[in-house]
Amino acid sequence: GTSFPLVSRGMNEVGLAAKLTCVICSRTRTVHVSSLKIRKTNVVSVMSPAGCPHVNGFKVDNWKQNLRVIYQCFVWSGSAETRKRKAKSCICHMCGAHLNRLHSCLSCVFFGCFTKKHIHEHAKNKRHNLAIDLLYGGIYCFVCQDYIYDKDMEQIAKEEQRKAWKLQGRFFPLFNPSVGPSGLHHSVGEKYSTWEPTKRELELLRHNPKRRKITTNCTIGLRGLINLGNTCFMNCIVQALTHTPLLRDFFLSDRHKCEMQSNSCLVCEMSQLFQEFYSGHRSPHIPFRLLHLVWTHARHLAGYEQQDAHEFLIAALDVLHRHCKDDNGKKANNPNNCNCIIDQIFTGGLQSDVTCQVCHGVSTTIDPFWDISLDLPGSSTPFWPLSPGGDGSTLNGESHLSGATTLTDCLRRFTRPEHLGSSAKIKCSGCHSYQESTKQLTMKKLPIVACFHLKRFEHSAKLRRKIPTYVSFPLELDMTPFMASSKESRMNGQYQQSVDVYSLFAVVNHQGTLESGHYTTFIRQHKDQWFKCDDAVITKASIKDVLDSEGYLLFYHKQFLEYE
Amino acid sequence: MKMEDMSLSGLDNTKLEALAQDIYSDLVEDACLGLCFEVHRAVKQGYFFLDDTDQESMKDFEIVDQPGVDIFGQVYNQWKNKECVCPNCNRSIAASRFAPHLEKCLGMGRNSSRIANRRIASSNNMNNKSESDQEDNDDVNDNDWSYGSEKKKRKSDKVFLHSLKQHIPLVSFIAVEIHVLYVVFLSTCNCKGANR
Repeated sequence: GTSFPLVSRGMNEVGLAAKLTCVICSRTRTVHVSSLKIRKTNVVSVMSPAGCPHVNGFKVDNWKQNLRVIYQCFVWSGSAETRKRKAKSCICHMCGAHLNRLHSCLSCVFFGCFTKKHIHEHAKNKRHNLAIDLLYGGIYCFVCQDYIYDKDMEQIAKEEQRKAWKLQGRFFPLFNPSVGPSGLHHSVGEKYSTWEPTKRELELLRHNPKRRKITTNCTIGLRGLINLGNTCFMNCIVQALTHTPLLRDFFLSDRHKCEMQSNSCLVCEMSQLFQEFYSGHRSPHIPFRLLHLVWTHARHLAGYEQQDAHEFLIAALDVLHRHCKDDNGKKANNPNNCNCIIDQIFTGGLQSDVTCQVCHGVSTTIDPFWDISLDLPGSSTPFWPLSPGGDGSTLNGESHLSGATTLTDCLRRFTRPEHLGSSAKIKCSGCHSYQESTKQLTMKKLPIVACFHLKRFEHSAKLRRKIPTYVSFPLELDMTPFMASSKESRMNGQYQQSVDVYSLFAVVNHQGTLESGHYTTFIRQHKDQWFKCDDAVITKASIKDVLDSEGYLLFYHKQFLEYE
Repeated sequence: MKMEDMSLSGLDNTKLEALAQDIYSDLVEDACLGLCFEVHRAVKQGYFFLDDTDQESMKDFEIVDQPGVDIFGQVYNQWKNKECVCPNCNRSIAASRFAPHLEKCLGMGRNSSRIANRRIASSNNMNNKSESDQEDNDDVNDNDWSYGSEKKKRKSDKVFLHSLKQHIPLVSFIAVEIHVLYVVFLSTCNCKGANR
């Protein structure tokens, strides 16, 4: 763990001490970095550009190309050869050091270290006023005695850095990962750069000093929702969605560009919803427009007495997906090749393997899914045993001592090999005849947000009831054992590493009976704070409250996002 | 420290350890320097101050964790009088009754078709006496929303059927007759929830 407290912050100096803490033994170590002196005059005149007039002497003839060469050879080393060349040739011409903040003169071929002031000497002797830091590419002006930021020169630096990173084979897919048919990544994105305000924006911000910063003890991002008449089924889903980190980031960075003509885009309404949640308003929001839009676009939902939150979730995701524009500019019409934010976050792939009992040939299909519906003990279909000859080993830290069913139990049952009986013979392409088979489901691809639906509402021909069986679910869930790749590893006798670890971030609960009930949601903010959302009332909750609750819809978020 | 080609194979563990430590120190110092540059640039370009917050604003948004109030420090259940404007008919509706209103307004749900057909029927009806009473019954009957009110619906169904039989002229009788059969079917059918 690292923290970077600013140790001194006078008008002239910014000093930094980095305090590093070992996560294993907790020993700390402080590293002092020599301070960068900021000239008082330069700080005061922030309205003028952060460049300096002394670069004009440099910006003559073929300066752009010269500068590019310097960046390519001595700063951003793209290929292995340039790296070697840099390592060997970039040494101080006076003392031979290759560290000590080496700088290159911009006017001639001279390398000098900064800490021993060898580059300063060169600058004075030769009247070469500009030098470049070989580690980060910053331009130093010896007349101003400070690092300067010239727009044109920075532009060249950025371009060269991008080129070098591409050469090094680094790919940065932001909201645009695309995997070709061979499974190889073929889309290259940009290096992430933070937002910088323009001059006009800076001016505005300076004149409006009141700020809302989202810290851990801040209510911003939390807001109640008015119940529009038994619409808690909608409110609970809205709370879960507005607290899905990736979705929040997508909308708050204004990534939805609407193509729809009328005012009926649900994605726009979603965007508006995030604005409402982060507005700082304390009174609950009235989501009447949202209800109207969902019902006009998902007519099958409206008009039933008691609505199911799970149904609403699927319908809402479906409408959002339809209204989303693919990042490549195509409409999200092709379900197999959509790249919209909904698919990127919620869509997983469920693999179904049907094995012929005679020839052991396997027929595999992969279907997309947005949620995983799990049967519970107590329903008409028998739950135990989980699989023929199933074991009772513990997983995910859940014990069976108390006898409570765990989420992992449900998942194991979901992914168990199932013997399809003699009445359900499958036509085997290997045997060219109908044979008995076993079917097994595994996760081919897990979505970034995995939603588990505990099937508490039974609607069979004979009865309709709610199954209140308590299912214990963990805060952290390891999905690795349920992956298709793990199944293969197991079959090959290989050890599966835990790579698919998920964290719980929202729990939707249903209280009451099938005929009349109420939905509430627990959501997670700022890593370990939990809140209970009960329509218009938001209160603080403990982790124990969350984990002790019955659970109907469980939302888990992948812990480590990898580049595809 | 001059740059030279060095073979690692001849070195013992302590030397390797020391080398690794040196490289690690250099990397850490470089990383810290990078951060210094970021701060320096932010100050010079003038956007460093953006990270500042004013204490008053921060106090305004502090989470409250006390019984009887929500995280904003507000008492529960004070939001009774919220209103909204229906996007379909532009009428101002009480927020807590918006959903049942919208269901009818959009012409969805079983009841809406019944009301619509009744309106068709009554427009052909010379004797409008009992019609308005039934409309009021329906609007009041927003308990349609839960299962508990089934009995109430059946009652109004019966009233509807009775008045129809008495007053409808022959021309529209057949159309209404079909609908009447449909309504009777619905009220006796137990499969409401199974249409999902």
